[in-house]
Amino acid sequence: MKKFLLMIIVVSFGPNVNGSYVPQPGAGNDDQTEFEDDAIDNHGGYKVLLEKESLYHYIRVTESGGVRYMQFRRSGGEYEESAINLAHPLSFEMGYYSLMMTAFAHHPSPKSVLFIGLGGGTLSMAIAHYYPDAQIDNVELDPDVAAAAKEFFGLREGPRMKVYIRDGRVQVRRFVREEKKYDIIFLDAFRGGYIPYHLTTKEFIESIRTLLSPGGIVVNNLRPGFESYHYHRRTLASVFSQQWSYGGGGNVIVISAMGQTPPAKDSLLATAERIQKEKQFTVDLPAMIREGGMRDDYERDGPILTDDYAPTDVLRSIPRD
Amino acid sequence: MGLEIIGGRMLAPYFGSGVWVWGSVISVFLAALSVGYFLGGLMSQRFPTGRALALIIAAAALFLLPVALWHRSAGDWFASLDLHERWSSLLAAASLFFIPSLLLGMVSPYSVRLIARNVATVGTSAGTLYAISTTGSFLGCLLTAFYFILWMGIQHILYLSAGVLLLLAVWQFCVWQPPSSSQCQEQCK
Repeated sequence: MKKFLLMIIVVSFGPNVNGSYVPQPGAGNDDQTEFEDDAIDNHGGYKVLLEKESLYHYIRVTESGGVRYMQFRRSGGEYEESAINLAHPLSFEMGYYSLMMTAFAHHPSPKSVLFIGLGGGTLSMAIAHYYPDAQIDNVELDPDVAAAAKEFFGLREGPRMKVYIRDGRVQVRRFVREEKKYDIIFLDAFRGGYIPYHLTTKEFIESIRTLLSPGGIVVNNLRPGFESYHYHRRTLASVFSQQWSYGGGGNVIVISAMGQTPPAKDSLLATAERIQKEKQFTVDLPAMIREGGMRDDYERDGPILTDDYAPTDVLRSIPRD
Repeated sequence: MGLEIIGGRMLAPYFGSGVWVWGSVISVFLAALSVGYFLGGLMSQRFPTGRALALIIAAAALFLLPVALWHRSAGDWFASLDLHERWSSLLAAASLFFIPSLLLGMVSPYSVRLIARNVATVGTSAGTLYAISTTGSFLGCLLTAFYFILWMGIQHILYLSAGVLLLLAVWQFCVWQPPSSSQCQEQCK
């Protein structure tokens, strides 16, 4: 009830649609890198292309310097969810896209890829470019987000690029029942700063594991610096036997896999170098692989998240140094 | 209200956290409360005793136990029916929350009947009871959302609610006496 009311309040007292709203600088947290803007107008090469109250978000699509951004508003802050460079869609404008490409050192030739959380679809489109034969399924809760991805980010649906408009958890249940299998599953569903709790629990991660083909991997986009990060890591560790992490600072990309003997770092690096040469990624895959690995970068002792206990929205608000 | 807050969280693993889930939970509670108010009024006319009210509260507490024990299987089962999420979440919410919230809805009109002594003061009695009842809802809502969800799992929140209700029922059954009743005052002496 409270959540529901809050949604109505956020929507009805949100910024003015006619553009007179000026965001308070420094308000909110810098999730997904907070968007900084001085004024919403058409000067200085900064345009607002879409401003819309959807069922779940206050969505904005803006364009500045040839780059389009998708933002969700929450608690007075704009959370940047997606960005695409119109002229060079493969040169990623957000750091975590690059980090997510580390998945291809672990699984260099995926035939099927699943995204939970579409956003602008930037990474889905890039993967479709590098792997034109791969089947790419995307699950997105908010129909308006999917519509914005198609209208402003250039996403095109087709036999190899599908968008399912449904809650991630519900669609995953269906996929499990249909016995679908994926080589790489990207978990990147955010609701303006935090992951909806039912997409974080051990039960959900277990159903994700059953969707993996042999040798498949799961890629999580997590935000360190908050109490919830350690809960997410421990929950993943309770389901998967192997865990790598890449990046630091604002986003950490965690790759999880099953199996007794994890691949040696040398062999991951060799794969990264080979695939980099073959695909000509715009990012430096070997450098990212060299920097990350099976690191000891979370607290291993503590509770995990389950369907019964998953206060992710509360934990997300507890900062850590 | 506390139940309502965790209601959405109980259903999310099966039906997601879309607007339908919250809509289902809230509308089931409102429908059940409406029926409860009505039935509570009727029953208070037939059995106007504090002990009957105690039994209603105890029944609400007992009905929370199967909810705590089987809400996962219920969610699973309704999700497997493969209806549209809208209908399956509404059915699941109804099966889990309708009876306990109906029973809790009966409490307010019942209490009005027990406390009211004459027509002149019935407005004050009803007003006081509404204030108490809504303050309870407010606390249940706030404590659950702000603290209980962080402190304990959903199952334990349900056990806690059932325990508190049961204590209230026992107190109502054994200790409570209707106020300013001349009969009682004589007996109590």
